Amino acid sequence: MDSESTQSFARWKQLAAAAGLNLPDSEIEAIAGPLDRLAASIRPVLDAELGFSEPVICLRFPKGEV
Amino acid sequence: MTAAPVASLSLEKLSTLIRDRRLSPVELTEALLRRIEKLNPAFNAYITLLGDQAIEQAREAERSIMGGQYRGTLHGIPVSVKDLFFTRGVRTTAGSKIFDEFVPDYDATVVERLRAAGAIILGKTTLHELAYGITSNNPHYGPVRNPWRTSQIPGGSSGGSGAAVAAAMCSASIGSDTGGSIRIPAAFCGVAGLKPTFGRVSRFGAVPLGWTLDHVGPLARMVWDVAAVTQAISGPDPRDENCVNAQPPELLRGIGNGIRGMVIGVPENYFFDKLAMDVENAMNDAIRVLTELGARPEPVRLPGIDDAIALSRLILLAEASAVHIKHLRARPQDIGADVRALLEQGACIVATDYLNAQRARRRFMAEVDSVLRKVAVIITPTTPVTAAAIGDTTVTVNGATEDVRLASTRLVRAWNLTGLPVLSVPCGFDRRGLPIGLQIVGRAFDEATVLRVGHAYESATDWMRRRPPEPA
Repeated sequence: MDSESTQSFARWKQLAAAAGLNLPDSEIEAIAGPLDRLAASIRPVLDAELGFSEPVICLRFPKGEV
Repeated sequence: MTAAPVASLSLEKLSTLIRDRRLSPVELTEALLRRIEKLNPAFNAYITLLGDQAIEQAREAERSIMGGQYRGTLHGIPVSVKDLFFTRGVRTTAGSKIFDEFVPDYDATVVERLRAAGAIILGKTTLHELAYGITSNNPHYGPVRNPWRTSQIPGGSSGGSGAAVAAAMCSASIGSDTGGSIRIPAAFCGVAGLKPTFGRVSRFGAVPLGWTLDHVGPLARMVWDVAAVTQAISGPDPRDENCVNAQPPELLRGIGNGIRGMVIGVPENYFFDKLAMDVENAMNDAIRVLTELGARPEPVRLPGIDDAIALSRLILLAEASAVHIKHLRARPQDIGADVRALLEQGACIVATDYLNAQRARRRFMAEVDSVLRKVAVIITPTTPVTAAAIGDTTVTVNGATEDVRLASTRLVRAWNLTGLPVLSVPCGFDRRGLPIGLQIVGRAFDEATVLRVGHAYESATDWMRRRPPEPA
């Protein structure tokens, strides 16, 4: 495994463990590729200037109730 | 005997016959149950059948109607429900081994509304495991097979619903759509399917997949039928805080008014790139038909679409994993390999990326909103290819190999980010006789216009009148 792959593998293994998943190395390797590709494609979008826009998750109260 | 003729009638026609007391709901239900018994081994559209309950509901419907208490369009109409929706006293598996013995003690809101409308619930349809995929090749309950060609997938995740409707094993079905799961099976099975506006239909009692992406809607053989079912299941529900507190407009009124003078947006970028030749030809012909009906095509651009696809993937990965993380930790061996891989990926997404994806999402929403200020609807293909073979993990599109899930979702999933209403209707067949779908995207809460376009197109073509071959 080259250096970049090693770092990628380590990163996803750490994150999976942080999520409470005890994944064998084979499954880490299987998910690393798709996650790396998604990360590469989405990083510019996530790092773009978003100002102070709020995420599309709202605290909502039932209408009419105070 | 498969009782094809009465079973194949549209919901509209059946409703008229039942209302006029020329067709008994009991006879219709019995005919459909016989048909399901004959066809389900071939298609595996149903995971649980409710034969005795359905007959009892049909008898009750008949008594009510004969007693002068006709409830409306869906009274006495046999429908099915994706096995994602809670049905009181009836197991609800979500296509998962984990929920194989789960029996809810209440109905989902959509089920309550179907019952209140007098519909007959025939059974629960098979789906892709946990609704998290597009093949409906379920490792625990078997693959659903496309009625047009049983070697092919019906699409997913509402594959059983798509197959059941296409094969006239019900008059309509309720599905869910998080990244195309109503529209893909509608396209692959040659039926109509509507993802209504987010908040139009309550999601209470539906097993979630992605809270900010999930939509509930119907599949049926005709657009009028889709409109009628949407009308029945829509409306406020305080139990779903995302459900808008407004009654829907009359969706059937004006559905036949045509589209003369309507400006329809046709994207210049992305949506017409990398299409199978037959899909491209069908779309060109569909736009010609819409033009002949009096609509005016207008080129539009959606420059943020590539970003939107990536955003929808990240948001869904994170949300779905959050929904199912406990099961992923405790029973990974009971989750199919493809779904387990997605859940594992989602568990690795950090909170800041998820939240920033939910912020960046607003840019695409604003971009589409800007386009829809200039056009009434946006027209695209539903999928770039027709149904793949069961078991295939890749498809070839004009010489290029793509993952089957990513290919099947790349024209549909971004619309889940926007929450806008989107209808898929059949617009042709490929050289193998597999259906092709046309997607109609409308403004928020403007299901009426989307349905009117679909109805106009359907009336000018005969795609939706074709039926799959009867199995031997």
